[in-house]
Parts: sequence; structure tokens; C-alpha cells
Amino acid sequence: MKRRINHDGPLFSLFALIAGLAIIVPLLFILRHLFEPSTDAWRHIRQIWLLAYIRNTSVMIFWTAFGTALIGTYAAVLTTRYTFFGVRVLSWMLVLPLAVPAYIAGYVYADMLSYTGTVTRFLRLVSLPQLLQPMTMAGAVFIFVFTLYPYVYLFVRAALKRQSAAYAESALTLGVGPFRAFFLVVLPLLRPALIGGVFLVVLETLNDYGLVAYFNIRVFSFAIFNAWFSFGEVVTAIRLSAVLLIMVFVILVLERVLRGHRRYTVHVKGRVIAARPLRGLARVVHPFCLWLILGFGFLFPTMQLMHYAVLTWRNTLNMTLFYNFMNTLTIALGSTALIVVIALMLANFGRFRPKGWKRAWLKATTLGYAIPGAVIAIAVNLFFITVDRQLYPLYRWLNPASPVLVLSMSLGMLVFAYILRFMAIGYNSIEAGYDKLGETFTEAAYTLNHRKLSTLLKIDVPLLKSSLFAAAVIVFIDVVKELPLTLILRPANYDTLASRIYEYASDEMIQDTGVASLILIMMSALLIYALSGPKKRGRSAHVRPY
Amino acid sequence: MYVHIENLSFSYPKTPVLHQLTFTMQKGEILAIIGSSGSGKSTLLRTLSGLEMPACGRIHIAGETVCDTSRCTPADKREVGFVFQDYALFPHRTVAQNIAFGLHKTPRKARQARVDALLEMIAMTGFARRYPHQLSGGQQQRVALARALAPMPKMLLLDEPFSNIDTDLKHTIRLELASLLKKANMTSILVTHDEEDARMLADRVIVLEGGRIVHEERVVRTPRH
Amino acid sequence: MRKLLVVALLITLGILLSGCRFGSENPEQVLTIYSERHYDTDRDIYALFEAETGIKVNLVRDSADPLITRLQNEGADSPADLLIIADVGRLHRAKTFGLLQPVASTVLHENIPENYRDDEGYWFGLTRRARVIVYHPARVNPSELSTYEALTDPVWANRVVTRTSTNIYNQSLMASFIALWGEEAAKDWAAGLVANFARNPQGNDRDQAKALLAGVADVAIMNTYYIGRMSVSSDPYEQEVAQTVGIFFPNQATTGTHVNISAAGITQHAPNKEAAIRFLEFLVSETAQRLYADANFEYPINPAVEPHELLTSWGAFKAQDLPLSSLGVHATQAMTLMDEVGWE
Repeated sequence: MKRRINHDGPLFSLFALIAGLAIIVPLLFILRHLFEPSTDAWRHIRQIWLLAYIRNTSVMIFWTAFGTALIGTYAAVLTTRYTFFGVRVLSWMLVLPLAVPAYIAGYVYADMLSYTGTVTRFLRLVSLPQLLQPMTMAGAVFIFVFTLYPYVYLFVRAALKRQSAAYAESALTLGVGPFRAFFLVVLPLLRPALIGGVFLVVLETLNDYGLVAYFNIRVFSFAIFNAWFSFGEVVTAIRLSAVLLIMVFVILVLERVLRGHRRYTVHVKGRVIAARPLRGLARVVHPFCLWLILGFGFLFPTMQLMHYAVLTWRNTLNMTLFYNFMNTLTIALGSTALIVVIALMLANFGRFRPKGWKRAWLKATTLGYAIPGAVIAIAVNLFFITVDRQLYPLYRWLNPASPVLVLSMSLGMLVFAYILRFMAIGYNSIEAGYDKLGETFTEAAYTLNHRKLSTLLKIDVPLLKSSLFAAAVIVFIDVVKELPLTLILRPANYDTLASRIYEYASDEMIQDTGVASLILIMMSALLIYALSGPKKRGRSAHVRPY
Repeated sequence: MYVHIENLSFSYPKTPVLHQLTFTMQKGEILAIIGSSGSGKSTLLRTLSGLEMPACGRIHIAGETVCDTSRCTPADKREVGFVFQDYALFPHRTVAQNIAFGLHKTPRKARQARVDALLEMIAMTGFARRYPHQLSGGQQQRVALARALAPMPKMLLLDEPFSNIDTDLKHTIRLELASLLKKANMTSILVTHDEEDARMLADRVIVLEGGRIVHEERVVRTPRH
Repeated sequence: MRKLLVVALLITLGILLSGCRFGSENPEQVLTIYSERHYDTDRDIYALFEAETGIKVNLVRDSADPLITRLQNEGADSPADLLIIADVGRLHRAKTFGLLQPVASTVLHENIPENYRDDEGYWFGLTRRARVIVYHPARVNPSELSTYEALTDPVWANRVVTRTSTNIYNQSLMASFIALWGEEAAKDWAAGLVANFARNPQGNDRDQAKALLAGVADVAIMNTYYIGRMSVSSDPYEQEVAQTVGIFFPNQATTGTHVNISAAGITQHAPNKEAAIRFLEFLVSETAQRLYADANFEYPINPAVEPHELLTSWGAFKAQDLPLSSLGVHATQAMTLMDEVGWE
């Protein structure tokens, strides 16, 4: 056996162990329900709905995955391989739809296309019928595709930027035309990036609740909430989540099998393909398509929200909203910082190709992303209540009048749930950063008598800065948008922008969400600008002139 | 003996890399290890530096057992310098900061003096504030050497030190390196696939093949300079 | 970078610690309410109560079912004193789960009509909403309308819209029919209604009203509450919708119009039962009921208080004469039946 020394100081092993336990134990709390006897509700759902759930979920995932893959790749190829008017602005603005939560886009599009909506009124004005039915499967897929494609876009773009020109050029010298070369060589090499992006899209789609509930599309997340809440059946909800988890697992295995033994991650250093200008009609058509994509995903909903804001700001722009904003900001910053730090420690523990139990353990700590929000919420709630009961003697010792439930009445519970839920995003992003960085810098530091922690802080962190920042931005945006956990686990008298938006929307006051939605979207949009907006100096972590 | 290696073996899962290597070194000796790729020469360096743990065997350096069957000193406590094949200069630190990196336990003033001395030794005094990407390959190599020498290691390991250097410069740089190592009286092992490198720099050459020592000879050098 | 990390960690710790503070306030001055209602009106009423009594109201808001699950999980340690839910069926479920405790109070008895409170005193109504038939006056003459049952007549084929079967208001409507007519008749009704749907159920109550103006359908089953809210919408076009459609109270000659209530119950382990009773009494007082009626377009539970003038303009109506706990008893059955007849 090959043994490594020094790479796992007890500090990191211990940390990974504790972090893993903290994530896995709450989930065990809930999974034991899986083995309880069947209930009437489960039998009912299995008889009437289960097949429909599986079919609808599959259809929704398939088209969303297909649509995001297509649009994301299209946008990434155009913005990296071609130059045209506005390409610099577009290349970062195309990430912006990530800032728009699918549920907000859903409310807004449904309203725009409803009888009183902007689009319908305009069509009436020019005597055209409004034939679009937004609240359908097609409508939901449309919204998912245009708000989630940035995941694919970001991944594929990064891969295209790294892909050496040598591949495409060698294809050309072998007599393959540029068009075929793209499909035979460039695209297949993008596959890991494409899969990575699409996988995130699929998980986000599976986890959405707000949009599918409003559109009444019977998919799993909706079914889980419904079983839990309408039937009051924890067992049924857990069983449905288990079916969902199996589906996710099947997708993963399928991808592995399809990939076979081919390798895609060969790092060939060399020149990347230079961007060429678009010519002829393409100079108009492609930019137009890109702006249209951006329009559907970001510009149109935002413009409509601005209109709502104009209608309602007198009632909704007040101190309460400011407090909601501050709550959102602080909890998102705090959770993001914790997630990035923990993910960094875990990724550091898992460096140097972890094997066996270590790998499994690390995978387990990132499970939360694949588990429906409602399940996590109840698991965390149960876990915290149990912890509180165990800690009660301590509370009483500190404060004789203390109630039993302290932690589970605090914001800590929500922060913990966010960590559980979004660890995977932080971890994967940092792990990818480590992959790119390689091992020599770290090893060089070890041979210069630096210990693990000091190496981490002095060498790894500065060199991973861009990966860490990217991880932080995506986690932050996800926390800001998050709904079921926030609703179920927030403490008394605590509201965030998202929970506020949800309350207005559930009271069917979509116009009143305008100001809050805009603030929420702008917060994320600013971060996206900082992450991928035009850079003034310095292009990568390896070149950092001061 | 200053360095004593006994029965050193190392294997990756399913593939053995080093077989029961045994050799010794004098203080200040420069040993070259030659071998084709896959002969296990880089792994030997990694094992000596503490980056890898041997399957069995003993390593003694400067009168201390740094590795045996029961315990192994980790790289950060072993005091063995390492010059990596691609130098691994930290891109976010200046030349001076790179050299000072291993001197984190040295008081600030002494550290500054040591960095200055090393910069002078490698004749790069004016480059203290440059970043690695602003240097040529030869300059990077010298900085990497200075960085490895800074904490005064008990021995120095160099992995393919000339692989990134243009052929026309190679000769001068080789001579420079040899004189620097001799000046510092540094016990060194350098790994290369180029016999000429080995003969010009080293006092002794070991040829490694399939993880075994197949040949060993003392270099008889016509006096240089 | 290191400094940044330290600062971020400090901020986080600060949040966590400030969050912990919630648990350590002086319990005698605090009333904790788990509520599904999240209207600004409710906040105003609570503020009024705080000002009047000096008791601080802590509000935990979420949907009914997560709140119930949470109460179950917390058990005897729950800080909650009061559970407020906008559907009596769910309160009944909370009662059967043993999460509530009975209360006797003459003030509550005097202010709340008998059928809007639990006969054992486990829950008390706060406001009422009627589920009515809304029609487009250009295409439907109110004389064509009579009962919920009549909407299953083939005359109405492709002319009816309502929300999904997962919607609590439709579930409680269905439950009321099971209670009134029995399972078979209720199921036939649901099947007949589904056959007349103009489109697959989707959207919220306002969307049903809009569907009338869009010409998708001619009648909709929806709550009076949302017509009221639309009449003061910030969107002038929604106001137009509210002004255009007509309201019809069905089953006036027979069983009466379906009514659901927002209600409150004191939790089994309420730490401050006395204050909670006081709070309940305040909520059904004329002052508070006045606010509910005027600002939130709900029918007040206290008969001494007149509804909003818009609601009075629709006229008085006869409500279903049904013990409301039966809505809870038949809730699951209602859902199952609706699923079986293909009400999406």
C-alpha cells in the first residue's frame, strides 16, 4: 500500500470527522422513518400518483437538462470563440439569470401572461390573441431553462477557455472541417464540464418547490411537501424522497457507465484558440439570440418587477423591508463564510485522490444537495431539539430560568441547515480549484518546514482565491434565494427577503413582491458582476502582478 | 556516514516502485541518480524528503533516524530541501518572499540578512521584488535553489533541475549550480535522465532501473575552472 | 485573506449569539405564537395588544403543516402558547394529535357563535371566509346559478374553473360535502365538476377570477376574501377584474354556502396559558374584529361587528350549518377522493 505522510494532520482528519458527523447524524434521524410500516397515504399515492410523479419528474428533468445544455453551450461557445459587438458585456451578463429565483420568475411570467398581465394587455391592444399557457409543464421547463442555464454556461465557458487549440487544430490537419471538428473533438472534450453544469441544473430543478406548486405540476418535490403537509405523513414523504434519491443515483450511475474508460481531463498546456469575428448575417443573428436569452432569463422579469415596484413602493419600501434586507445579508454572509471555510478544510482533507472510506465520507458530507429541502428542514429541526434536550442541564447551570429549547429557537438552526444543504456547492468548487492547482506548491511548502495549517493559509488560500471567491458567490446566491429551509427553520420574528416574497406571493399579492424581489436580485447580480464582470488587471491566480 | 539509506522499498497499490535500495553518502557529497522515466528516481526523492512514506526500510540523515518501520518524520520537520522539477515558486509571492518562506521561525532581522545573502549568492540582488512569472527559466531555478537552501537543510534534493532550461544555457547553469552547491558544502542528490548532467555535477553516479540500483560509479573529473 | 476569514467568522459568531438571545428572554413577558396568518393587519392587532398589556408577542410564521410538525417535534418543551391557522381542518388535526388544550372563557363564548368554536373548547374562530361562485356577468345570468351541485350539470361543460385539489380551501369544501351528503354523493359531485373544468386546475384564486375575464371560463369557485383584496390591488387592472365579476352565494335555499374559518387554539404545553387566553379574548373583541373586517376583507367572527362595506354590498348569506370540526374529520378522505376522480 502506498502510504502518505504528513498530508493528514490530526487537525484535518478530526475536522472532517466532526463535519461529516454533524451532517450525517441529522439525516439518519430522518432515514429511520423509511423502515416504518406503510400507511394508507403511501398506498394511495403509490396507486394513483407515483407513476405520474416519476413520469412528470423525468419529463421535466429531461427537457430542462436538454434546454440548459443547449443554451448554455451555445452561449459559452459564442462568447469565447467569437468576437462581436457587445461580447464583453454579454459574456458576464449572461450569468445574471442565476440571480433570479425560479419561483419569482414563475410568479412574474404567470402574471405577465395572465389576463391583467403586461403581455396580454399589449396583445389585446394590437388585437392579437394571447395563446401562451404559462402554467404548464412547458412553461415550467421554459422558466427553469432560462434561469438555470448559467450553471452550464459557467462550466462550459471555463472549460473552453482552458481547452488547448492543439486538439481542434490537430483535427483540422487531419482533414476534418471546422464544423465537424467542433462536434467530433471540441464538444466531446467539454463533456465533463457539460455534465457538471447540467447536474447542478437537475438538482436545482428537483429541489424547486415554489414554482411547481404554483403551476400545479405534480413532480416529486411537490409530492413530498404534499404528502408531508396535506396528509401529515412523515413516513410517506421520506419514502418519496428515497425514490427521488434513487432517481438521482441512477442518473449518476448512467453517466458513469456512458463515460466508460474514456478520459477527458487531460491538461495540455498550450495556446487556446483565438476568438474570431462573426461575419455576415451571423453578426446580427447570434448577438440577437444571446440578448433574447438574457431577456427571458433576466431582463424581462426584472423590467416587470420594476413596474411592480413603481406600483407598490409606497406600501412596501419601509423599515421592515430594510430589516429583512439586513437579515438576508448577514445570514447569507455568515453561512457563506462558514460553508467556504468548512468546504476548504474538507477539500484539504480529501486532497491527493482520496480512496475508500475517506472518499465515501467526503461524498456523504455533500449529500445534502441531493436531498429535498423539506426533508432537511425536518431532520435538522429534530436534531436540534434532541441536542437541546441533552444540553438542558448546561443551560440551567448557566441560567436557572432557561427554557429547554435554546438552539432550536435560534438562528443557528437555520445556518446549520444551509451548511448541510449547500456544502456540496462549496466543496465541489474548491475541489476543482485544488485539482487545477496541483500538489507541488503545497509540497514545496512542506519541504520548507511549514505545517499543514500554515501551508493552507499562506499558500493554498491565496492561490485558490479565485476558486474560493467563486464558491462563495454561488453559495451566497443560493442562500439568498433559498426557500423551504428559510420558511420552516427561521426563528420567531425573523424574516428574510425570500420569506417576505413568499408571504406576499402566497397571499396572491405578486405586485407587492416587486421591491423585495428587485433587492434580492440586485444583491446577487452585484456579486455576479464582481465574479465575472470585466477585469481591470490580473487574469488568473497564477499571474498576479501588483 | 552522513546519509545512510537501508533496504528502502516503496510501492503504489499493485505496482512496486523501489526495491530494497541501500546506499550511503558523505557530508558535502553530490550524488546523481540517473534513470529513464518510470525507474523510480523521483519517487526516491519524494520518499527521502518525507512527502511519501516508504513501505519498509530506514533513512538516517545527519545522525538522526528520520524514518524506520515504526515512525517517519513528516516533511515539515525533516529539514530536507527540495528543488522541484517545475520549481513550484509560489506565484503570489515575490522572489524575496519566496526565499524567506522557509525562514518563518527566524527572527525578522536575521531573516532579512539571510535572504540578502542568498540573493547575492545567486547573483539576483536586483530581483527581490519581482514575481516568479517575470523571471527566465534559469533565474527561476536559481530562486528555487536559494529558497530550498534558505532554512539550511541537512541535505538537498533536486528533481530534474535542467528540464526547463534551454540547451544553450544549460552548460553555464550547470556549472553555476555545481559551484553553488560546493560553496554551500551541501549534501545533495540530483535526479536526471541526462548522463552528461550527472557527470558534470556529481561526485558519484547511481543508475536506477526498475527500482533497483544497477550501476554505481565514482566520477573522475578533470579539474574544472 | 486571513483577516478576512477572521472577520467573517466573527460576524457569523455574532449572528449565532444574537440568535441565541431569543431563548433567554424573561418568559413572563413573552407570548409565543405559531401562526399561519402573515397579514399586516394581524401585526397591527398584535401591536395593539402589546401596547395594551405590555406582553411581548413573539411570532413564528410558516404554513400550517410545518408548524404542526414542529409542535409535535418540540413536544413538552415547545415555547409556543398559541397556534393560529387559516383552516379549521388543520386545527382539528392539531387537536387530535394532542397538541392543544381546552379552555373555558365566558368572553370567548359570548363573542364567538357556537358553531365557530370547538364544543370542547380546543379552538376558537377568529375570522370567516366564504367559498362562493364567481361569474362573468356578460356570459352568465345569476338566475342560472343555484347550488354547488348544479355546476356538475352538462350545461356547464368547459365553463368551470377552480384551484387544484392540493389547495386547502377546495379540500375543506370537499370535506364539507362528505359531511353533508356522504362519501358517494361527494365523490360524484367532484367527478361531475372535473368533467366540466375548462382547463386543468392551476394558479391561485386570483387567477381563477382572471380566467373569467380572459374568456377561459364563465364561472369560478373561489373565496370572497380574494375578490376583496383584488378590489384594492395596487395593479389597477386587477381592480377592474374585481369590479367586473359577480358574486353568488350558492345553496341559499338548501345547505348554505361553504365557510371556512381562521382559528386559534392554546397549545397543550403553553408556558403562559393565562396570557394566551387574554390574547384570544382580545382577538375576538370588537376592536380587533373591527380591524380584521376593515383591512382584510374577512367576515368577522364576532356578530356584533359588521363586515367591510364591500362585503355587505354582496348581501347577507346563509352559511353551511355544520360542526366545523367535521371539515377536519373528513380532510384526508376529501383529498383521496379528489385524487381518485382526477381533480389535479
